[in-house]
Amino acid sequence: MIKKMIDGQAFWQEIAKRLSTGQRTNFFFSEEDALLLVQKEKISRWDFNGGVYFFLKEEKFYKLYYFLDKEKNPEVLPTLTEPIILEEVLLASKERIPSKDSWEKAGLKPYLERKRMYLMAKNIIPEERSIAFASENMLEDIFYLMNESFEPFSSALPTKDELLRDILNQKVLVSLQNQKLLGFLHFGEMKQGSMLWHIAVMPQARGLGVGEGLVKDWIFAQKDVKKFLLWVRTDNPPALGMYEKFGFLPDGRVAPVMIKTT
Amino acid sequence: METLLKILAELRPDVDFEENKELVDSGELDSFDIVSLVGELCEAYEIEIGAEDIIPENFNSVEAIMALVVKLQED
Repeated sequence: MIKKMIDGQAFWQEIAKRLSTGQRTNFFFSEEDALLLVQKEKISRWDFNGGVYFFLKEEKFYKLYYFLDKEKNPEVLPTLTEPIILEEVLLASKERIPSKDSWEKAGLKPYLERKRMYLMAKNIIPEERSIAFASENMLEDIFYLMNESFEPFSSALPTKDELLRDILNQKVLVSLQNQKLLGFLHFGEMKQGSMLWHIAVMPQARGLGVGEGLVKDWIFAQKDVKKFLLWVRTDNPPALGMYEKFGFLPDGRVAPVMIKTT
Repeated sequence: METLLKILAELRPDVDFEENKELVDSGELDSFDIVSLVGELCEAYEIEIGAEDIIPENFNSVEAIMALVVKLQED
Protein backbone atom coordinates (compact mmCIF):
# COMPACT_ATOMS: atom_id res chain seq x y z
CA MET A 1 0.00 0.00 0.00
CA ILE A 2 1.30 3.45 -0.91
CA LYS A 3 1.28 5.98 1.93
CA LYS A 4 2.11 9.68 1.99
CA MET A 5 4.95 10.83 4.27
CA ILE A 6 3.85 13.56 6.67
CA ASP A 7 6.56 13.74 9.34
CA GLY A 8 9.78 15.23 7.93
CA GLN A 9 11.92 14.60 11.01
CA ALA A 10 10.86 10.96 11.18
CA PHE A 11 11.61 10.69 7.46
CA TRP A 12 15.15 12.02 7.86
CA GLN A 13 15.81 9.81 10.92
CA GLU A 14 14.68 6.82 8.89
CA ILE A 15 16.91 7.79 5.94
CA ALA A 16 19.96 8.10 8.20
CA LYS A 17 19.17 4.77 9.87
CA ARG A 18 18.86 3.05 6.51
CA LEU A 19 22.14 4.60 5.32
CA SER A 20 23.96 3.54 8.45
CA THR A 21 22.80 -0.06 8.14
CA GLY A 22 24.36 -0.25 4.69
CA GLN A 23 21.21 -0.38 2.57
CA ARG A 24 21.78 0.47 -1.06
CA THR A 25 20.14 3.63 -2.29
CA ASN A 26 19.96 6.33 -4.93
CA PHE A 27 18.73 8.84 -2.33
CA PHE A 28 21.11 11.76 -2.03
CA PHE A 29 19.11 14.69 -0.69
CA SER A 30 20.43 16.74 2.18
CA GLU A 31 18.44 16.88 5.43
CA GLU A 32 17.16 20.35 4.52
CA ASP A 33 15.88 19.23 1.11
CA ALA A 34 14.38 16.03 2.52
CA LEU A 35 12.38 17.98 5.11
CA LEU A 36 11.15 20.39 2.45
CA LEU A 37 9.92 17.59 0.18
CA VAL A 38 7.87 16.06 2.99
CA GLN A 39 6.54 19.47 3.97
CA LYS A 40 5.33 19.96 0.39
CA GLU A 41 3.60 16.56 0.61
CA LYS A 42 5.55 15.29 -2.38
CA ILE A 43 6.81 12.00 -0.91
CA SER A 44 4.91 8.71 -0.75
CA ARG A 45 6.27 5.37 0.36
CA TRP A 46 5.79 1.73 -0.47
CA ASP A 47 7.22 -0.78 2.01
CA PHE A 48 8.14 -4.35 1.27
CA ASN A 49 10.26 -7.04 2.84
CA GLY A 50 13.93 -5.97 2.60
CA GLY A 51 13.42 -2.37 1.58
CA VAL A 52 11.26 0.58 0.70
CA TYR A 53 10.48 2.71 -2.34
CA PHE A 54 9.92 6.44 -1.95
CA PHE A 55 8.05 8.14 -4.78
CA LEU A 56 8.62 11.85 -5.32
CA LYS A 57 5.69 13.42 -7.18
CA GLU A 58 6.65 15.67 -10.04
CA GLU A 59 4.16 17.30 -12.37
CA LYS A 60 3.98 14.51 -14.95
CA PHE A 61 5.86 11.60 -13.38
CA TYR A 62 7.14 10.03 -10.17
CA LYS A 63 10.81 9.87 -9.28
CA LEU A 64 11.79 6.65 -7.57
CA TYR A 65 14.17 6.54 -4.61
CA TYR A 66 14.93 3.12 -3.21
CA PHE A 67 16.51 1.62 -0.13
CA LEU A 68 17.31 -2.07 -0.40
CA ASP A 69 19.03 -4.55 1.91
CA LYS A 70 22.36 -5.70 0.54
CA GLU A 71 21.29 -8.98 -0.99
CA LYS A 72 17.78 -7.83 -1.88
CA ASN A 73 16.80 -7.54 -5.52
CA PRO A 74 14.43 -4.73 -6.50
CA GLU A 75 10.78 -5.49 -5.85
CA VAL A 76 8.40 -5.42 -8.81
CA LEU A 77 7.17 -1.85 -9.05
CA PRO A 78 3.52 -0.92 -8.58
CA THR A 79 1.68 0.76 -11.45
CA LEU A 80 1.07 4.42 -10.72
CA THR A 81 -1.03 7.01 -12.53
CA GLU A 82 2.10 8.58 -14.11
CA PRO A 83 5.38 7.10 -15.38
CA ILE A 84 8.01 6.12 -12.79
CA ILE A 85 11.57 7.37 -13.36
CA LEU A 86 14.65 5.90 -11.74
CA GLU A 87 17.77 8.03 -11.97
CA GLU A 88 20.98 6.95 -10.30
CA VAL A 89 24.32 8.70 -9.97
CA LEU A 90 26.99 6.01 -10.13
CA LEU A 91 30.71 5.69 -10.29
CA ALA A 92 31.50 4.47 -13.79
CA SER A 93 34.38 2.39 -12.44
CA LYS A 94 32.17 0.36 -10.10
CA GLU A 95 29.80 -2.49 -10.84
CA ARG A 96 26.19 -1.34 -10.89
CA ILE A 97 24.28 -2.85 -7.97
CA PRO A 98 21.35 -3.52 -8.18
CA SER A 99 22.07 -4.45 -11.78
CA LYS A 100 20.25 -3.08 -14.80
CA ASP A 101 18.82 -6.58 -15.34
CA SER A 102 17.34 -6.71 -11.86
CA TRP A 103 15.64 -3.35 -12.43
CA GLU A 104 14.28 -4.60 -15.74
CA LYS A 105 12.78 -7.57 -13.86
CA ALA A 106 11.17 -5.04 -11.52
CA GLY A 107 9.43 -3.41 -14.49
CA LEU A 108 11.79 -0.63 -15.64
CA LYS A 109 13.28 -0.11 -19.09
CA PRO A 110 16.53 1.70 -19.97
CA TYR A 111 15.75 5.26 -21.04
CA LEU A 112 18.98 7.25 -21.36
CA GLU A 113 22.33 7.87 -19.71
CA ARG A 114 24.38 10.96 -18.90
CA LYS A 115 27.92 11.48 -17.73
CA ARG A 116 29.38 14.37 -15.80
CA MET A 117 32.28 16.42 -17.15
CA TYR A 118 34.32 19.20 -15.62
CA LEU A 119 36.77 21.87 -16.65
CA MET A 120 39.10 23.67 -14.23
CA ALA A 121 39.16 27.45 -14.80
CA LYS A 122 42.94 27.55 -14.39
CA ASN A 123 43.22 25.55 -17.63
CA ILE A 124 41.38 28.18 -19.66
CA ILE A 125 43.12 30.77 -21.78
CA PRO A 126 41.13 34.01 -21.35
CA GLU A 127 39.37 35.53 -24.33
CA GLU A 128 37.41 38.77 -24.64
CA ARG A 129 33.86 38.17 -25.80
CA SER A 130 30.77 40.25 -26.06
CA ILE A 131 28.20 38.38 -24.03
CA ALA A 132 24.42 38.67 -24.26
CA PHE A 133 22.24 37.80 -21.29
CA ALA A 134 18.61 36.96 -21.92
CA SER A 135 16.04 39.64 -21.19
CA GLU A 136 12.54 39.24 -19.80
CA ASN A 137 10.87 39.59 -23.22
CA MET A 138 12.67 36.43 -24.42
CA LEU A 139 11.06 34.27 -21.74
CA GLU A 140 8.41 32.70 -23.98
CA ASP A 141 10.84 31.86 -26.80
CA ILE A 142 13.43 30.36 -24.46
CA PHE A 143 10.80 28.40 -22.54
CA TYR A 144 9.38 27.03 -25.79
CA LEU A 145 12.81 26.05 -27.17
CA MET A 146 13.73 24.42 -23.87
CA ASN A 147 10.61 22.29 -23.78
CA GLU A 148 10.98 21.35 -27.45
CA SER A 149 14.63 20.37 -27.04
CA PHE A 150 14.71 18.27 -23.87
CA GLU A 151 13.03 15.03 -22.89
CA PRO A 152 10.46 15.71 -20.16
CA PHE A 153 11.31 13.16 -17.46
CA SER A 154 14.88 13.67 -16.32
CA SER A 155 16.01 17.02 -17.69
CA ALA A 156 15.14 19.00 -14.54
CA LEU A 157 13.36 21.61 -16.64
CA PRO A 158 12.50 24.78 -14.73
CA THR A 159 8.96 26.13 -14.56
CA LYS A 160 8.30 29.36 -16.41
CA ASP A 161 8.56 31.30 -13.11
CA GLU A 162 11.87 29.67 -12.26
CA LEU A 163 13.19 30.43 -15.74
CA LEU A 164 12.12 34.07 -15.43
CA ARG A 165 13.89 34.32 -12.07
CA ASP A 166 17.08 32.94 -13.66
CA ILE A 167 16.78 35.34 -16.61
CA LEU A 168 16.49 38.27 -14.20
CA ASN A 169 19.49 36.93 -12.24
CA GLN A 170 21.60 36.77 -15.44
CA LYS A 171 21.78 32.99 -15.48
CA VAL A 172 20.64 32.65 -19.09
CA LEU A 173 22.88 33.55 -22.01
CA VAL A 174 21.54 33.95 -25.54
CA SER A 175 22.77 33.92 -29.08
CA LEU A 176 20.83 36.33 -31.29
CA GLN A 177 20.67 37.27 -34.95
CA ASN A 178 18.70 40.40 -35.85
CA GLN A 179 17.09 40.21 -32.39
CA LYS A 180 15.86 36.66 -33.12
CA LEU A 181 16.76 33.84 -30.76
CA LEU A 182 19.22 31.29 -32.19
CA GLY A 183 19.98 29.52 -28.93
CA PHE A 184 20.35 29.85 -25.17
CA LEU A 185 22.45 28.49 -22.32
CA HIS A 186 21.02 28.19 -18.81
CA PHE A 187 23.46 27.79 -15.95
CA GLY A 188 23.56 27.97 -12.17
CA GLU A 189 25.97 28.37 -9.33
CA MET A 190 26.75 25.46 -7.10
CA LYS A 191 29.21 25.26 -4.25
CA GLN A 192 31.80 23.47 -6.34
CA GLY A 193 31.45 25.65 -9.42
CA SER A 194 29.24 26.77 -12.26
CA MET A 195 26.87 24.12 -13.64
CA LEU A 196 25.56 24.17 -17.19
CA TRP A 197 21.92 23.13 -16.79
CA HIS A 198 20.51 23.48 -20.31
CA ILE A 199 21.75 24.49 -23.71
CA ALA A 200 19.67 24.43 -26.89
CA VAL A 201 19.90 25.81 -30.41
CA MET A 202 17.00 26.48 -32.80
CA PRO A 203 16.75 23.66 -35.39
CA GLN A 204 17.49 26.01 -38.31
CA ALA A 205 20.64 27.34 -36.61
CA ARG A 206 22.24 24.01 -35.76
CA GLY A 207 25.68 23.18 -37.12
CA LEU A 208 26.71 26.85 -37.30
CA GLY A 209 28.74 26.99 -34.09
CA VAL A 210 25.99 28.66 -32.04
CA GLY A 211 26.29 26.09 -29.23
CA GLU A 212 30.05 26.41 -29.16
CA GLY A 213 29.79 30.19 -28.91
CA LEU A 214 27.35 29.91 -26.01
CA VAL A 215 29.64 27.54 -24.11
CA LYS A 216 32.50 30.02 -24.61
CA ASP A 217 30.26 32.85 -23.39
CA TRP A 218 29.40 30.83 -20.29
CA ILE A 219 33.03 30.11 -19.49
CA PHE A 220 34.28 33.64 -20.13
CA ALA A 221 31.34 35.43 -18.51
CA GLN A 222 32.39 34.30 -15.06
CA LYS A 223 35.62 35.47 -13.57
CA ASP A 224 35.58 33.96 -10.08
CA VAL A 225 34.57 30.41 -10.88
CA LYS A 226 37.10 27.65 -10.23
CA LYS A 227 35.31 24.79 -11.92
CA PHE A 228 32.78 24.35 -14.72
CA LEU A 229 30.51 21.32 -14.66
CA LEU A 230 27.92 19.74 -16.90
CA TRP A 231 26.00 16.54 -17.52
CA VAL A 232 25.90 15.36 -21.11
CA ARG A 233 23.96 12.52 -22.71
CA THR A 234 26.25 9.67 -23.69
CA ASP A 235 24.20 9.11 -26.87
CA ASN A 236 25.02 12.62 -28.11
CA PRO A 237 28.46 12.37 -29.82
CA PRO A 238 28.38 15.93 -31.28
CA ALA A 239 27.92 17.42 -27.81
CA LEU A 240 30.50 15.10 -26.26
CA GLY A 241 32.98 16.05 -28.98
CA MET A 242 32.36 19.75 -28.46
CA TYR A 243 32.95 19.59 -24.70
CA GLU A 244 36.07 17.47 -25.15
CA LYS A 245 37.38 20.08 -27.56
CA PHE A 246 36.98 22.71 -24.84
CA GLY A 247 39.01 20.48 -22.49
CA PHE A 248 36.16 19.06 -20.41
CA LEU A 249 37.04 15.73 -18.77
CA PRO A 250 34.75 13.05 -17.37
CA ASP A 251 34.87 12.98 -13.56
CA GLY A 252 33.84 9.33 -13.34
CA ARG A 253 30.14 9.89 -12.63
CA VAL A 254 27.44 8.40 -14.80
CA ALA A 255 23.70 8.76 -14.38
CA PRO A 256 21.61 6.08 -16.06
CA VAL A 257 17.87 6.74 -16.22
CA MET A 258 15.20 4.02 -16.43
CA ILE A 259 11.45 4.34 -16.90
CA LYS A 260 8.24 2.44 -16.20
CA THR A 261 5.47 3.77 -18.37
CA THR A 262 1.84 3.58 -17.26
CA MET B 1 43.86 6.09 7.54
CA GLU B 2 45.06 4.20 4.48
CA THR B 3 41.69 2.50 4.07
CA LEU B 4 39.94 5.85 4.32
CA LEU B 5 42.19 7.47 1.71
CA LYS B 6 41.56 4.52 -0.61
CA ILE B 7 37.78 4.84 -0.18
CA LEU B 8 37.96 8.59 -0.84
CA ALA B 9 40.24 8.19 -3.86
CA GLU B 10 37.80 5.69 -5.38
CA LEU B 11 34.85 7.93 -4.64
CA ARG B 12 36.38 11.15 -5.99
CA PRO B 13 39.63 10.62 -7.90
CA ASP B 14 39.62 14.30 -8.92
CA VAL B 15 39.83 15.70 -5.38
CA ASP B 16 42.99 16.39 -3.36
CA PHE B 17 41.89 15.08 0.04
CA GLU B 18 45.16 15.76 1.82
CA GLU B 19 45.07 19.48 0.98
CA ASN B 20 41.39 20.41 1.17
CA LYS B 21 40.11 21.03 4.70
CA GLU B 22 36.71 22.34 3.63
CA LEU B 23 35.53 19.42 1.55
CA VAL B 24 31.83 20.01 2.23
CA ASP B 25 31.85 23.77 2.78
CA SER B 26 33.73 24.34 -0.49
CA GLY B 27 31.33 22.03 -2.31
CA GLU B 28 33.93 19.48 -3.33
CA LEU B 29 31.88 16.77 -1.62
CA ASP B 30 28.20 16.97 -2.53
CA SER B 31 25.30 15.16 -0.95
CA PHE B 32 25.73 12.20 -3.29
CA ASP B 33 29.34 11.85 -2.13
CA ILE B 34 28.31 12.00 1.52
CA VAL B 35 25.62 9.35 1.07
CA SER B 36 28.05 7.08 -0.81
CA LEU B 37 30.76 7.72 1.75
CA VAL B 38 28.50 6.93 4.72
CA GLY B 39 27.69 3.55 3.17
CA GLU B 40 31.33 2.79 2.42
CA LEU B 41 32.51 3.83 5.91
CA CYS B 42 29.83 1.75 7.65
CA GLU B 43 30.86 -1.28 5.64
CA ALA B 44 34.64 -0.84 5.87
CA TYR B 45 34.78 0.01 9.57
CA GLU B 46 31.68 -1.90 10.75
CA ILE B 47 30.16 1.19 12.33
CA GLU B 48 26.73 2.82 12.29
CA ILE B 49 26.56 6.51 11.42
CA GLY B 50 23.41 8.10 12.83
CA ALA B 51 21.48 11.09 11.50
CA GLU B 52 23.06 13.33 14.15
CA ASP B 53 26.52 12.58 12.74
CA ILE B 54 25.67 13.32 9.09
CA ILE B 55 26.71 16.98 9.34
CA PRO B 56 29.26 18.94 7.28
CA GLU B 57 31.73 19.31 10.19
CA ASN B 58 32.26 15.54 10.23
CA PHE B 59 33.13 15.37 6.53
CA ASN B 60 35.12 18.55 5.88
CA SER B 61 38.55 16.91 5.99
CA VAL B 62 40.19 13.51 6.05
CA GLU B 63 41.06 14.12 9.70
CA ALA B 64 37.43 14.95 10.59
CA ILE B 65 36.16 11.84 8.84
CA MET B 66 38.77 9.71 10.59
CA ALA B 67 37.86 11.26 13.94
CA LEU B 68 34.21 10.38 13.35
CA VAL B 69 35.14 6.79 12.50
CA VAL B 70 37.31 6.45 15.61
CA LYS B 71 34.59 7.97 17.83
CA LEU B 72 31.98 5.55 16.48
CA GLN B 73 34.32 2.59 16.82
CA GLU B 74 34.83 3.47 20.48
CA ASP B 75 31.10 3.89 21.18
